[in-house]
Amino acid sequence: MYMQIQNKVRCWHIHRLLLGLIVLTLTQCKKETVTQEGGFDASKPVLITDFYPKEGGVGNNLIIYGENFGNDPTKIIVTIGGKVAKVIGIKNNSLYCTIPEKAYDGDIHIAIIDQQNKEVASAMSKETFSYNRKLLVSTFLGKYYQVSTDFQEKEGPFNDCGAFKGIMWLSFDPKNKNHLYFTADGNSSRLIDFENEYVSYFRTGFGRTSIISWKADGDQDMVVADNHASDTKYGNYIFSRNSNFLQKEAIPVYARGVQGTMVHPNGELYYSRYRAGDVRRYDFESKEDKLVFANPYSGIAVRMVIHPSGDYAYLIENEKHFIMRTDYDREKKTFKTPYTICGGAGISGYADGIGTSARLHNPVQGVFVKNLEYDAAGGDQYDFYFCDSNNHAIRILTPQGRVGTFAGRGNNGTSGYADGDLRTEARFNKPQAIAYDDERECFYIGDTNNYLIRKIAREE
Amino acid sequence: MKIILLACIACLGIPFNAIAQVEIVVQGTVTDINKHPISGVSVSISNTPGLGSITDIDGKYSLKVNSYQTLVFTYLGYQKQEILVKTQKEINVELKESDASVLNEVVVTATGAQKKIAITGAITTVDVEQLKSNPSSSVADGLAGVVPGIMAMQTSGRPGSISEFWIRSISTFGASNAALVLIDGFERDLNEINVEDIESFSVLKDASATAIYGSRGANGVILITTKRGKEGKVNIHAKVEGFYNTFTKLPEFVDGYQYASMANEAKVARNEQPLFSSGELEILRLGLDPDLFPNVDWSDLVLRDGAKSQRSILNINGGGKTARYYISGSYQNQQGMYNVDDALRDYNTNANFRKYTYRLSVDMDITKSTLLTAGISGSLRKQNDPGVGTDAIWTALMGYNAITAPVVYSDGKIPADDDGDDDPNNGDGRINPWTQATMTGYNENWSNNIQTTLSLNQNLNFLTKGLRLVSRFGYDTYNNNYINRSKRPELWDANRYRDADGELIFKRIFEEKVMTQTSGSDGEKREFFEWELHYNRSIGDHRFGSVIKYNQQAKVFTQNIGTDLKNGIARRLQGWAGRVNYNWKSRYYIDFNFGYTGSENFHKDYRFGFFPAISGAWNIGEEPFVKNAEWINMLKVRYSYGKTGNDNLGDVRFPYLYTIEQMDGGGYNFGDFDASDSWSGMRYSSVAATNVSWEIATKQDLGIDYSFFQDKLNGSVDYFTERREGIYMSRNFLPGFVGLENNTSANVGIVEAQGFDSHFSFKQKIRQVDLTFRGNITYSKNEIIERDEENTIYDYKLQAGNRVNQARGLIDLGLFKDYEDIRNSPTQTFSEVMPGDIKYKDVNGDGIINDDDRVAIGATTRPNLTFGFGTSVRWNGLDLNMHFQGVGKSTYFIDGSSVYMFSLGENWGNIMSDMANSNRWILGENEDPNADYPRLTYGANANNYRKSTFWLRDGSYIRLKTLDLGYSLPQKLVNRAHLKQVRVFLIATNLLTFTNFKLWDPELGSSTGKTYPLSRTFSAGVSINL
Repeated sequence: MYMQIQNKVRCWHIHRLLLGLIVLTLTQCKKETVTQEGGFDASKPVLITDFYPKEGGVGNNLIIYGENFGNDPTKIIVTIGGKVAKVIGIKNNSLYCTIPEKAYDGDIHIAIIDQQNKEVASAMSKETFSYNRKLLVSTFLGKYYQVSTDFQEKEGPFNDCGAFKGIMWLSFDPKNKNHLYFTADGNSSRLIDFENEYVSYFRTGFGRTSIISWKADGDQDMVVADNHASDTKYGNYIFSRNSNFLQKEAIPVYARGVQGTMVHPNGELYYSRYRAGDVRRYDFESKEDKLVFANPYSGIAVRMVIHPSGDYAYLIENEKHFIMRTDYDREKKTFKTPYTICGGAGISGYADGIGTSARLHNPVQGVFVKNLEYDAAGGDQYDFYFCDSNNHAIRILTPQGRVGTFAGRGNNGTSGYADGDLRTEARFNKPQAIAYDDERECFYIGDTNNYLIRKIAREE
Repeated sequence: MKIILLACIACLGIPFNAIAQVEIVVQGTVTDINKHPISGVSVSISNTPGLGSITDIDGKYSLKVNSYQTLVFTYLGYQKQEILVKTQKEINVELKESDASVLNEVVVTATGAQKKIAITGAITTVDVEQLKSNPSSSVADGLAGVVPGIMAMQTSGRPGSISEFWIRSISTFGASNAALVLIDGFERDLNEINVEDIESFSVLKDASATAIYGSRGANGVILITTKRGKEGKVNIHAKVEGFYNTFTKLPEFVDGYQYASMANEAKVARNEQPLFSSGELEILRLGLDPDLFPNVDWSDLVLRDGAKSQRSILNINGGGKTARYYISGSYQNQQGMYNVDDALRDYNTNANFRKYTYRLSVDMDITKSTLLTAGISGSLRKQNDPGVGTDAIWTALMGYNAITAPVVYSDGKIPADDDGDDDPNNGDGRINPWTQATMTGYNENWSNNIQTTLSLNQNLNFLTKGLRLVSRFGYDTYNNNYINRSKRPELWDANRYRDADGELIFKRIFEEKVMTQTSGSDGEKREFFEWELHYNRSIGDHRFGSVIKYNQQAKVFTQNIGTDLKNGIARRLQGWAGRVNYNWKSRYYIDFNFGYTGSENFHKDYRFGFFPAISGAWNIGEEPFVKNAEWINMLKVRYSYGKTGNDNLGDVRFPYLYTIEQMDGGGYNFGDFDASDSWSGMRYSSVAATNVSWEIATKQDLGIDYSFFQDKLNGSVDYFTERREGIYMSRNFLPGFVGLENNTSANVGIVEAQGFDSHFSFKQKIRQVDLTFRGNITYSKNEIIERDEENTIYDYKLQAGNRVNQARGLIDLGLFKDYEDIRNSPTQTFSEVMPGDIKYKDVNGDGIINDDDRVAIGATTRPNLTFGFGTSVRWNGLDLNMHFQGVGKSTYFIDGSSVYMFSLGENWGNIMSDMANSNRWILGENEDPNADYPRLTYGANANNYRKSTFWLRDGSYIRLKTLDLGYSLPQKLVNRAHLKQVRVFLIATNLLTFTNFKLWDPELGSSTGKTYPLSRTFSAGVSINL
């Protein structure tokens, strides 16, 4: 009896304790409310008060200030120079859009539409946007794969030709400017046919195809270098034009690691050897093969580009980050010992400047382009544009030896993939190949690590 | 848990059978000696279960009793009274106040409890009440500023993390500076114990008290005894607390627009192109492109404003003449700080922490002279974490600036910053903190530990009076387990520019990784055995005591020990210890004790160390010539001298063994031509260090204990010195001709330390108000006398002569004023300098600033001075406690990407608002040579970003550590509910901090601020006794 009472009392205490525990351990939840930006108010007028910047070209950002824009980018139509601009962000008092192509007139209109896409309000800016035509980087060929493993390699029309790995060297057929070839080291070389707008494989049968160059005379047959690692194999082959470049014939000289070739307008073939570190001359007529000069370094790839006049050639010393020049001796019909023209031998970096104060990082292919501005001054009329691969840029070397940056590294960056303004937007990823199309007045860039062919041209 | 415990209690009650005896109702009144009735006195029946009764407001009680049972009257602060009931129906009792003078205070020492007056060593007894207001799950967190002689630092606020602490001074650069913690006599983890279960907490600081531990007392000893059951009625104590934790100081970062503007400034200041065009800055300012120019406040997004936690404690004790029990349980739940719970459905990735502890002990009088004690205690801890782990999230929180990437792209793709690394496993740091906290899976960690103790206390009075044998056996297991479940969504990086149509261009960085799991565990078991023979006699005024003790212990790792046989071998210690003390008339004390301890980690010739200590005390207060001085209650001078040891070499096992391995590659071919019969040679890959032995500390301590004015003012002052010799360290600078393949180690280091610690408390009663002031301070300074280091022509480059872990660096002379200033200053060799860069002092005067100009600057990260002070006020039922804690003599470097603005360049690293808006050097705007921060650089800057006084900060602070307000409900009310005591309380911790260092919490001691900040905690709770 006594025990029972005691137990009851105890239980009562325990319940109280437990109740206390439960109450104290209960937690509260807090709900947060999100405030909505004010939407379009039909009772008020739409106004454009200002915009920024005042001038620019296609793809540039434009910010328009005003009132009552609403907050739905799908319910506002912005036209600049009569072209519809893509609205990216909108905040009722400001909006952000990109300048459309060919918005030459530069007048800015905005229109608010309703659910049925009917215009319910509109406004126009008093000032007009000053539209500049400029050089732009665009994507010419190939598909940019957001997921790199989706990569497809295939033949096909321009709008469906997959993408290209390992682009190494671009070269136009000198007799047919509608045919642009590129080599891609261990990957498939291609023929880009502008006439049929089609990209097809160009089969060399080599393990690693390095350089395409063209004989100076006759049919202007193609000379293709096979970059192999054997001392007892031929290094250069001639693909004859009359076989439609299907049949090849070896130049009967063993050459290992050919990574640079050029043909002088006088007809001789010059080629560089990787391991041996020298440049040799082959005479198609006499079949004579001899050393021209030893390169200062061995075990590096030396690409060679000859000046259109045949007066000199540039030797692009890839792994040593500098460019040498070799002048042509018209008497002896051979090249002289080369000397450094720009970059620091063995010193990589990125710096514009004159001659050896400039810094390069794994330069690859270059091309001479005539600069009409030099006409009056006389002398060398050609600028040399070259791919500075690891600086992800297209550099320019003037006849006076000044190195500048022509395109890429948009916004002070490095690698990437971006089209647009040459210096403020465009980005490349290890561009290696470059060709200039005199007829279309544009550059084609082999953007190797983006697997694409890019194009640099003035806006039409 | 609580229910189980309660069920246990209920079971204990069942076997009771009332013996048929005459039942009578006894009534009566309990008064004090002044005949004032006392309410709340508990009245119970001896050796009978049940709650008994409590006196009411008039001191009256009534209880049903059987005749010939004993009534027990107990009340806090009064002496217990027992009265045998025969037939009387009314029993009135007069309770006497217990003698609570300091002279009777008991201190627990290595060889059992001693009266405080008899102590000859430097021992601090901690008021356990003061530790209780600490909101953390760990006892160690409550020590800083509370216990004189202990320096503590809470280096992370993450739930479940624990403070580091050390006693008096770090006087070694060896493997371990941690104190030895003994719980109920055995080496156990301090965090295993729940503060409510602590009966006594003592800190042994000098050699006299620690020598008996020989082996491991060099860094000081903490002695804890746990509560035991008491004879009498059932006592139930319950406490429930709810906490709300916020951060003391969370670094604040600049918004996207300011970040971008400053990035441009950093570029332009170094003659580079700006990073953002003016149009882009405008888009950022207006927030018009949340994909490419987002503006995310990651801390705000990922972290809660505050997290909640709860703690509940229940303990019950009671018992009879022959057996007593104590049972307790606790539960603690700390909510993680991540604000992610709503985003998750199937599982919880938050950094939640749960801890359960229990403790059970039974004391049994087997015979009149034999006491057997059995105890078991344990804990279970569970911790959750997001899949990438908390460290990765904090790294990302500090690294992700407002514009690095959006939370998600507008089309639902999950962003990650492409760090250019093709290895997805290295890219984890670049996933944004939100994704890390919600989409990377989760980790579960749990550890369960059990400690068992059995002890036998045999009185051997039948052999000779005063002889007693105590033997103890303990067995502990510790187990840690984890399951990591990790996954990762498909991750994308958008191009810096949109395409011609204004659309985003993406690149997939990582493909999706479905959830995978890994698991693992580690564990250890420990075994202890010891026995002690005590002998105490007093003959006239001569009092004599002695103890002899044998102990052995073994620790072995039980799981995940790999293939190396050494890992599975127990770490054993064995030793003898003894103690003799003598006093005459409680005036003159002398005490000698020794430890003779061996560690099998050493070669057998060097295995045992002998650690003697001698100490004495003169109790001036007992001298006849001061005994009459009313105001002196106690005055004692004591001195000790002794040696203690440390055998902790870190992970090194058996340094006296060498390792022989086959030569790498090569070999000699004994085969004939074209046949292979190759044999490679053998080599010593590590040389045996056979003479390695104990690290030995020689300690001296001179102290005064006092208590004056009827115990109103009491305290102690101690001055100590220590010389640590034979510190085990690697010999890195042996000349090559010695011919060793690896660096061997030896006992070569010497460190000397000295300092003082002191505490006082002053109690005063002003009318109804009880006031207590208390304070304590610990200061120490150490100096390296010798260590293995490289010879140098500049003696200031040596570590010898400086503190252990002394900060070193260059001395800054402000910032360069202009180019003229640069030309006229010594050449700085680290990188090119511009006006606004840091100018250094040429210490050796050679005209060049380089690493030879680095000197000792500031002090050490860990403080050399710790103090605490506080006050308690008590009035009627109200009580208020305030405790301040502070440290001094602490300096540390700040560095890392959050301090070195833009040092990691693009997309990584954040800028603290405090720094951005400070008086920093700005080109053309604020070219102040005395600015707080140098000219900005985008990317690394070898000149500015190096250790120097410029980046050295003073880590001293004072903080209001705890503010504790309580109210004990009036006894009248409480007794009516049949309760003994009810107290409700509010506690706030880390409420205020006063410091010169503003960037993050100085107590963290963090150089980068990238750590889980400490909590400011508000708690409310109720504590009930019945």
